[in-house]
Amino acid sequence: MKTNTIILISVVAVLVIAVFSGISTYNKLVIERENVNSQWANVESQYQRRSDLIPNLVATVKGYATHESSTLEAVVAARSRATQVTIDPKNLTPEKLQEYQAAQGQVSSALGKLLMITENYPDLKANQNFLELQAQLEGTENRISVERNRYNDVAKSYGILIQRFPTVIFASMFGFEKKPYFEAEKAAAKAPSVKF
Amino acid sequence: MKNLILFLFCLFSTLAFAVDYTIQTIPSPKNSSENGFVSNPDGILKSETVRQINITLDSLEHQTGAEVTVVVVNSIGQVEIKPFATNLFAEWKIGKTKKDNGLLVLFVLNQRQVTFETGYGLEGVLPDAICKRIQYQSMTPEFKNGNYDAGLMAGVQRISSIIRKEPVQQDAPKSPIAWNEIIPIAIAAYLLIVLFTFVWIGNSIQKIRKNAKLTSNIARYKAIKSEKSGIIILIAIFVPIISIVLIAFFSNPIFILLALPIPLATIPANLYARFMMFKIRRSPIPCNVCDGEMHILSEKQEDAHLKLAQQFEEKLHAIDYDVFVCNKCANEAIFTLDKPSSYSECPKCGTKALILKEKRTIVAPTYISAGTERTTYICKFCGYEENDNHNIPRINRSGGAFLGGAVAGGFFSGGGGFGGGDGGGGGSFGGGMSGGGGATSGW
Repeated sequence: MKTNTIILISVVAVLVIAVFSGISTYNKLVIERENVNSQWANVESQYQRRSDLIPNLVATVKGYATHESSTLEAVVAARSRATQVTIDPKNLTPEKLQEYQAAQGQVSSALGKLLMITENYPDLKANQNFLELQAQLEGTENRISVERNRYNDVAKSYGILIQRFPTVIFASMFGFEKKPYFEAEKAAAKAPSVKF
Repeated sequence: MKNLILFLFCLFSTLAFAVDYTIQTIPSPKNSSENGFVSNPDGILKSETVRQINITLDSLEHQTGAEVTVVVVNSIGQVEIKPFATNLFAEWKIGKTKKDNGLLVLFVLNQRQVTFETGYGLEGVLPDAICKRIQYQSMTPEFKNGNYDAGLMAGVQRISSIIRKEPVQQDAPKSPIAWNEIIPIAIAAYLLIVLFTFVWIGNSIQKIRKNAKLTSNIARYKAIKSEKSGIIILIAIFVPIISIVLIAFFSNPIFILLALPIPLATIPANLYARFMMFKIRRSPIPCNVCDGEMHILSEKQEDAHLKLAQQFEEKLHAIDYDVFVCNKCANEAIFTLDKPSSYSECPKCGTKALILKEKRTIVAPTYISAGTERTTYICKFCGYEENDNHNIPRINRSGGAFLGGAVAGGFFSGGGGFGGGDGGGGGSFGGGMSGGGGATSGW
């Protein structure tokens, strides 16, 4: 075999290997990014679940706690503000996440106040409907925190993946960007304590 | 060393009897007995209750596949019960994989709390409100009176009756491969290969036709033949190999089946090339004497122009002769085409009719000495015979057996090993997931 042929074959082989590893890395990155996106969707759906519970809760409380309209209105207002802040997982930036977290944090604190005042209404606390709504709200808060933690985990492993060598070459070539994490809640935006 | 083991043993045993359990130290019911669903390390429940709950939950799992697990402990320390339950659920992976139909009932005596952790798949059947209802209607009233057995028994009964009412979810049929989408793509790929082979071969034929270096029809015929077989081997072997590698790399291995018919896609181009070879070989050539054209004679006509030996060679299919005759000046030209055959040229008469007649062992080889073999060639045309003596190598004592053993070993090895069972007795949970669903009640 001529030397030229051997050189040609080895160049082609190297190119083929490079293309293959590029394709498989790209596919891996796509899968990982999709994992982060779908986990983000889980987070959002849990917040949405809480949002869906609020009208029911407000209606139930209204029947008993007639003098607390300002607290109830605060909850409704915070909810409607929060529903306007949605994030498309494709452009999940730290700023947007912070905005989202702030809006949801306001809902949490308004809900916390609402549940605090319900302590003053023994009839309400004995209401079975209220009791079960409260259980649902509590379960939702639990789910939110679980899904947020899981989101942080996958976002972190994705962040590590795209910064590692040689993946970082392909990641920057195809525009794979780091995803932001949830930060620990500030004291003001702490989830309502629904212990009773 | 002995002391260390003793020390570790003591440490572990104190941990096992420690009041505060952690996710890691809490004993899994799967470690104690085959169909255990209850972890009752502190003996809060009576063994009779444990037995009954186990029976209930075992039949529940058999009927619906749902894995309900009860954990009854005295203390988990200062940890909040709900995150503890979520983490324990994740650690044990309660419920079947993908179905996530697990439920963890965690009872912590010194916190006076009970919590349900529902797997993702049971959240629809057991929403938080229902969990809460079960707890405050059936469980906490009993717990308040210290009847932990009755409360847990009642809770488990209600849970299993709710799960039973729900229609049992059948395993979703494995998403069948969308052949109706893939087959057209595969056919398109075959057609592309057919077309590509055609274009490639057609192109080479054109080049060969115009090639001034190839003067005779036979030379062009041979050139096309070698070019054709090269192209077809390249496509029929390399394209399937490449596609098999690609398929194995990127998607479902079943698609490898689609790569197998690729060699068939070269058949049309092959036939076309054969037709062109035939045509070019028979195409008229200019006369080298006058300005006339020479035409090929048919197999019957050409015999008159050929010698007896040449006719014989044609009969043996050892050599093909093409006879061209000018249409104006009766000039004739004979072209020869060597065919692949077992005949070789006879050293006496020069006819390609020499063939192996027989192979005879004169002295058989032994383990000690080499043997001799005589080969006899005969010319079918002139009857000339040629003998040749060869050495047969000494028989190698272990060669054959060793090779056979190695081949068999290669095929059959790798069958050993154990199935990879998990020792220690007892199975494990199916691998379910939960997301913090469920409800908690205190008393």
